[in-house]
Amino acid sequence: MNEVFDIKRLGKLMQYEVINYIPHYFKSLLIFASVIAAVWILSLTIEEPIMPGGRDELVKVLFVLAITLSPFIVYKDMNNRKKGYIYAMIPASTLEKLLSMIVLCVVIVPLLAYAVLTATDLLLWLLSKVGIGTFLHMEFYNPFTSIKIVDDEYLLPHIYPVFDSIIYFVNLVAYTIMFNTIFRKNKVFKTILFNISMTFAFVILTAVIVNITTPEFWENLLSPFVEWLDEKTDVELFGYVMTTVRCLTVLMSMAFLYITYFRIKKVNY
Amino acid sequence: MIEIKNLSFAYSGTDVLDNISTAFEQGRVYGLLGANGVGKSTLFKLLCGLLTTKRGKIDIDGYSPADRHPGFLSKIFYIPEDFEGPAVSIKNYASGISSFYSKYDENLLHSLLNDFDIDINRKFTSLSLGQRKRAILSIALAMNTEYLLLDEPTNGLDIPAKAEFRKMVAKAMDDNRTIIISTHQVKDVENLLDHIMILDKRCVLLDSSVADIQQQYSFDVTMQRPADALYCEEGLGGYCSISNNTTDEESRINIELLFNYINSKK
Repeated sequence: MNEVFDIKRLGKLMQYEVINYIPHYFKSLLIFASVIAAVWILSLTIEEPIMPGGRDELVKVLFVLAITLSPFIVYKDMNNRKKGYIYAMIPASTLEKLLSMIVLCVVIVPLLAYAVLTATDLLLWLLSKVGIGTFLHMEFYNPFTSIKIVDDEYLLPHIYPVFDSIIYFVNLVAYTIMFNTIFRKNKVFKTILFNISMTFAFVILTAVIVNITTPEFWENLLSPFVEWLDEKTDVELFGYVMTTVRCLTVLMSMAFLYITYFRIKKVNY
Repeated sequence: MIEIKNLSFAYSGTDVLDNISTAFEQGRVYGLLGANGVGKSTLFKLLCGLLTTKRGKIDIDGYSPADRHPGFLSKIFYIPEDFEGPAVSIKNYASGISSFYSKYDENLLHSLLNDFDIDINRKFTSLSLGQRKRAILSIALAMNTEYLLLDEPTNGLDIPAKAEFRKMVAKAMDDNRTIIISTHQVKDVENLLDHIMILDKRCVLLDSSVADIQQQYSFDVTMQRPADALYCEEGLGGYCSISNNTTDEESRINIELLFNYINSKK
């Protein structure tokens, strides 16, 4: 028996997780869908139709929330001291458990969330075409590639926004998956608190660095790059920045998943 | 076979198990007894790989439980004392988990659930503690794993269910299976056990087969306190005592009395 990876075993695990975890997540999705319904009822009450653009934004926000919170909902009990043993004792390897987690949170859950949210919107549109404007056709959701170079003829190859969306999206999910395995209780609250703390720490650190350094220090530090930067066009620089950001994002995602792997492997119950 | 060598474990500085060595052989039903806090549940968790050993070694058919290898996990099934169950139906849970266990017997599951009067379509969350225990016991037995660890399995079961539980475990036993039952309700399981292990923090106080215990000790209930008793307790029906077996006649073991006797000697 291959103790590290077996494709059939991964399939069994995914089947188990879809049967056992997704119905619970589906119920949570209905809460998100009810927000759309609540807005629809509100629009009927105030006799102010909600424009397709507004609905599109609402669905997008709910979609991002639904997928960001998904690891906390789907794998809520995986490290719970009382209930988590069921997950730990599933006869699958740590790698298979991690891969199944990624597939569920990156592919299955977003597809389900997209389907439920847009179906809700469609249903409400069919019920009251007047109330909420025209049918919403949600375009490919791409929240991360909004950087544009103004007054520049440079166009990103079509594949890039899709590729960027995928890597940023995986990064976001890997981040929440990691925190879901690190914290045992009040996971969402602790994750938010951690992010706020890190932001504060970063701001304070930046302020301290700015305070203790002089402009000359930065000039000396950056002088070797100035000439090189001057030779580059905005488009080229944008390309470098984007490539660096992409590489860092991929590296960060790998680090998050690496931590998650060891958390799954070593977590005590 | 489960082999434990010099096993120690502590929760944030508090020793629970200290240098324990023992073995569990196949084809036996072990009764794991011990006072509260000696580490029976901890030992179960260590055997399942849910906790990592601090010192010492556990070997289960060549596997180290803490590695949580799929080959090992498919050999073992553990039911904790306070089993809560996933938020799905018994049917969904059993069908999902069964694909990992090669010896799973679906007919047996239906038959066991039927005997326990549990509807397979009900969700674990809609069941009482006793019903949840009966459901998970049925699933555990139907998976036909080589090792079955039951922590206080009769807690929450009503009287008919306890009798049904004994019947099921007796029926499920075979030469390739090891069942370890940790319990304080010794009367519920005393007819099932063929090996008794009494655990203490520092050592294993007793590790003997029922046959050996019966050969060594005699258990009696008398109206007068026996002069040669090793240990004696006064009860409503007279004096329950343990004495050395000098007649080679086997008497029925009073596990509670044996436990108290062994603990009084430490």
